[in-house]
Amino acid sequence: MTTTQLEKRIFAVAVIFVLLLFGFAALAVNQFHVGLPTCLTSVKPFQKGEVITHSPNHYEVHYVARMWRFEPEEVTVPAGSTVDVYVSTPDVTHGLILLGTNLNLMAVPGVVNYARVKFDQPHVYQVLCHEYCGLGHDRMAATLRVVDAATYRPPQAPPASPAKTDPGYRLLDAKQCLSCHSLQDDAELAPSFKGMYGRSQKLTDGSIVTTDDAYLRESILHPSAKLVTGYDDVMPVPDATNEEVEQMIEYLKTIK
Amino acid sequence: MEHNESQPKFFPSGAILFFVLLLIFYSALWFVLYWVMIARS
Amino acid sequence: MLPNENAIEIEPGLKRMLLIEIVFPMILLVLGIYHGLVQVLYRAGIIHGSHFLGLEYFQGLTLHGVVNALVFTTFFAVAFGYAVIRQHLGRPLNMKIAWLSFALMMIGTLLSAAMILAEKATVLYTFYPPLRAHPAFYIGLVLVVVGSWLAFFNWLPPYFAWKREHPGAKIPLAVVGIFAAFIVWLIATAPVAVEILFLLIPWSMGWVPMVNVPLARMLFWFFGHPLVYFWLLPTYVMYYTMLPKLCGGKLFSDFAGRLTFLWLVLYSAPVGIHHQFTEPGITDTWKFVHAFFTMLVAVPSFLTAFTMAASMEQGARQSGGQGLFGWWKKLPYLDKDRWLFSYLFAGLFIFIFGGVTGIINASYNMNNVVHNTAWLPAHFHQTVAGPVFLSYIGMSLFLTANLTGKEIKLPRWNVWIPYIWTLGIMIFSTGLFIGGAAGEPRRTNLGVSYSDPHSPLYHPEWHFGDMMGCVGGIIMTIAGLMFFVVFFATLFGRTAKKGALDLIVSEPYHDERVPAVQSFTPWLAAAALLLVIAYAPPLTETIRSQFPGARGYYPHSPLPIDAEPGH
Repeated sequence: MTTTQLEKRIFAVAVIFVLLLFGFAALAVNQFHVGLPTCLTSVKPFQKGEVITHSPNHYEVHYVARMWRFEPEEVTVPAGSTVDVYVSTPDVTHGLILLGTNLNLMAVPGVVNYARVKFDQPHVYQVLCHEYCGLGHDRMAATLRVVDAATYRPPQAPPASPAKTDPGYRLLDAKQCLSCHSLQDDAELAPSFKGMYGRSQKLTDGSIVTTDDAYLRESILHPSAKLVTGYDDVMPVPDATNEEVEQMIEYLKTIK
Repeated sequence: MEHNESQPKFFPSGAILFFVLLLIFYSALWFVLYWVMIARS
Repeated sequence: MLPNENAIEIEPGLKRMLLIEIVFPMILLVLGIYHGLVQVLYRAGIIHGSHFLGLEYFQGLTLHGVVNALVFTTFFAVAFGYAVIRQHLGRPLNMKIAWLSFALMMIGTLLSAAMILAEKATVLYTFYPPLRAHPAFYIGLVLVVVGSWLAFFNWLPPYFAWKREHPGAKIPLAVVGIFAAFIVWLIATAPVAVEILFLLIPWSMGWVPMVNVPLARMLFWFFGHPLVYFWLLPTYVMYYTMLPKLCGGKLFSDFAGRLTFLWLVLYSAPVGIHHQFTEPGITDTWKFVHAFFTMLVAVPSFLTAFTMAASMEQGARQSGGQGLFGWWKKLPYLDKDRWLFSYLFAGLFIFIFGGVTGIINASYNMNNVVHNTAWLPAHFHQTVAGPVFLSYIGMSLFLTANLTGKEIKLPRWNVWIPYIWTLGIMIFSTGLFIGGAAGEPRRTNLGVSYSDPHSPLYHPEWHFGDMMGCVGGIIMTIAGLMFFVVFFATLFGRTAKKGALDLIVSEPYHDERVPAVQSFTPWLAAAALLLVIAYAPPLTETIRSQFPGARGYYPHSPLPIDAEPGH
């Protein structure tokens, strides 16, 4: 056998080898129901995260992946259910992976992604973002709980929280302030809104300031003027009228 | 240009063995991930 | 180094350009490797927070990717290409075009690097819109690419002149390899040039408010896969033309080399969508087709693995190697006079693992298990940071020493560097494979959340893999530092002899002439056909879908850039 003949045989063996592996993968598409996302033109990008119940064991979750959280942040479904997962993004590219499953989707602006998952056993799953999407990417995670069918309670429509109808709240939400400023205790990306009004803050120049109307007004419109120490000078200037600024300040006064 | 006839003919048995072991190793690792995928499905 | 009958003296201008073209990216590589080290420290949670010594995590990551994977590689491929063309085709080159090409590449690099350092381009080496960088970042990349094209065009006149003077003769194997690399590069850079020139620059300049993200991504990955074969082909040139002689033997099959180079020209590009398996907006049929072609692009690497083993075996047996396994002992692993062998061999070893993990990634639905997890950087550090990196730095040292006529400094250190690097990479990658299989994300500053015991997101079960990654990364950095010491000590050492260009050229053991691999033309025609088959349908689908465009964002703000008053 010449070297060329031997090499040709090795080449043929390699071709057969890779195609065999490929064949096994292709088999799994139907045998084990593991496929890849395809092009879905019927669903347009959506803005609202929600869970839709089709039947006691068939749900539809609409995930909105935005800078820097998933909405809804908490999803609960009963074991034994099939879930159709859709993911949309209003801003940049994100990733959505459901750890421990084959659900692994990219969220691309302008297009909706879709995959179906079946949950047999109770388990608490973490959803996290695995594509760089900016400042808060490293903390962008959510939870999907699969509970025992017997203990599952369908989600009640939450009572209209007076806070959510407050014009100041709605402005903070619409202008993306809540992407960095938490209404809870989280102060990683930006000072927390909780108890902010009246709080003493240390600034980057070492001076102490009391968070009053004037300080808030100035910081909303000129974030770089008096920066709280420990944070980068990255707050964008929201496009807000003077009246809107006053409404936002009024709301902040109510979060103790 | 054919190889020099005064050189002993060389047959790469060692390389062939290496190649076979390589394919076996590749199959094994590939099937580990395949198994992970199926287990999660 | 072994005495080389191919050694030639070259024109001082070309020599100077080659040296600058090797040393300039080597200096940048110091920064590139530094941020590799810093990253593993962040990811293991040893550095907490988003900044370290003035660099933000993702800013440093952008630098790491752009310097190591785009700048260093392109500069080296051009420099090595010049060396191969000059030596194997035996005629001088147009230095005006050569310097213009270098100037464009250097200016482009400095422009993009300046933007990254000014925190105006924290978009990672993939620069996915709608995260938006300063226009100068994109312009810089265009200049680097255009400069590299000029280098290739500069090699065409000597190539055609040589063919005229040697009608019917086999083109030197190294030249076939370098030309294959740059043909792949032309195929690769065309779509990304379209993306940058027509989508990203107008949008980043503010001339158009929106960008078509799915189209931009498809064009990017049309570039992104052949990019890796642009990297791999110069390495393969070294394997086929230098490794056998370093082992005291001959290249087992010249045919295998030509087939590999031409097959890679054919299959490097119609596979890009395997980087987009989990994306919306692409019909799964096209994903399946690209997966199929990707399996075929893996084949020449199997052939290369066999042919290299056979060539090494032939040399080893000439040195007295016996038995089915024993001959491996007779290879010059620590021979400091044949030190280039250790750089090439260590790379081959690492590539065993890089190859299989690549096939796993490409296996259609198996991608769901690994996409965007730490598995991915583990894989590509065993490819671009394995065989490619080691052969590139090894050859950089080789060319530098030979062109300047200087001796290798610290030769006993030198021969160990690739093995230390290998140890580092294997530990690093194993840690990241384990983490990735468990879902640990890539492109994430784990230290502020998933690796932080004080964070509600803490994943204690990822800690072991992250520590392995950290240990591996530190070992890699040590090897890198050792290399920089050897390289710069050699460069600034005393001149020992006359400088020359003397690339090693192995003889073929069996030099058959197989007609199918003697000409580029049929392979180029087939490549064009495959590109139409693989990319016309998905590109058409993406364009016809008329996906709504996206506004631009800076990484630090959830507000679109144009939403800020007076932006």
